[in-house]
Amino acid sequence: MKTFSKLILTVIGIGSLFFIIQLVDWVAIFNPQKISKTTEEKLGELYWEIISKMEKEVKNDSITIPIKKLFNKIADKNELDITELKIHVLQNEQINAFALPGNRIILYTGLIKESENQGELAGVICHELAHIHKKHILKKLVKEIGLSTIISMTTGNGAGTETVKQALKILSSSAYDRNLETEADLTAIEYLENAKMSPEYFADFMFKMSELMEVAKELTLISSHPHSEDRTKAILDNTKLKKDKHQDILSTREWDSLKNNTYNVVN
Amino acid sequence: MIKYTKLSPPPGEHEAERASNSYLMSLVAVVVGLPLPIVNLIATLIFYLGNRKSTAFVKWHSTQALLSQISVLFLNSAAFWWTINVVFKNAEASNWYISYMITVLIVNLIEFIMTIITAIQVRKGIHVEWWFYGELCDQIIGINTKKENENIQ
Repeated sequence: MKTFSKLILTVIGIGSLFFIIQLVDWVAIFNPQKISKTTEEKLGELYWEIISKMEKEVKNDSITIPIKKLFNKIADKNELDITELKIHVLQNEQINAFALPGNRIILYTGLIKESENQGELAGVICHELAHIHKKHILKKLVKEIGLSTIISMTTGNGAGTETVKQALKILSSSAYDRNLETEADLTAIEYLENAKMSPEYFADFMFKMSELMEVAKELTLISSHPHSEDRTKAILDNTKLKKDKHQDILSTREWDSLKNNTYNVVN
Repeated sequence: MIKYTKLSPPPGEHEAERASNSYLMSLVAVVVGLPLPIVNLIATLIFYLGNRKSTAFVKWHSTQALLSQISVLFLNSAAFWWTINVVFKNAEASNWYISYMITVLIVNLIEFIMTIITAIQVRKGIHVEWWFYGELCDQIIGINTKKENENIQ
């Protein structure tokens, strides 16, 4: 047989093997999403265990209820399932919010204080929700600390508290991949508009952050989210719902109460 | 898949050892424990270049080892970059991905087993020709290996 015919037969052979193998529903057998979910849940618990020892959680209903109302309304308007989402408000002056593996979102009281209106706070909330729903968190961790470290953390082999703390620092303070940040911003715009909230307030917040960067570089949210000016422009460019069509989720009274109570907790 | 030919007179002890080593070189990545598909190829290529001026038997077998590695390299590289996309980017661990990884695993396993068998047989001085690669080697080297080998003293 000629060499070329043998080559064609070899390629057809491998192709046929591939075709036969793909007839099996391997996703149902291996269930990679379930494996990923279990890993994320274990990691989330590990992180939360450490955070809860280091930081004080705000459990005051006058703060947590309006925050949860914001989350629920946004999720409802976007048909997002947040039944497994755990929201934690922590007493911390930093202007920061971040998502943890295992469906957890951490909000610092500093962020609530700095938000001039609920549109700004909702923008940040939508951004973090987007990171969770687009499954960015585990991707970021794998990239930053490596798959082997994550496996050793979840299985408890050889990963000490220091490793977990280091990973936690990465999650709360360092930037996501620029593409992931852009995707989260664009998704946040979609979430906000579906909830009838104008993303222009989110853009205002990002602009405020870029200005603050000049005077306070130690602020975590700023250092963790670079290119704030570019992002502000991108948000405004993609916004369809302007401020005049904006609808608040919380009543003025609820928002004022949230702000006042946050100040009272912190001060 | 594999065709055995007893050469008369058989290749010398030193020749058989060198020819057999060219297959062992392609297993070096497994020994090193690296998942990078390029390592196999580099090791085999270095050995191939080192044996360009060797006897026909050694040259022929180092070429067969190299060609088999180049073919597997394409499959493995695609698997490597697809995995990178699944882990670091937004690619999904879909049925196509898992099926491809299984296919690559099977092809690598067959190649691995064939390499070991060939290395053993060649070490004994038996000329081993693989399906497709054997003919390709004959054409690339530009000689009829069996006849050439029969003249090896």
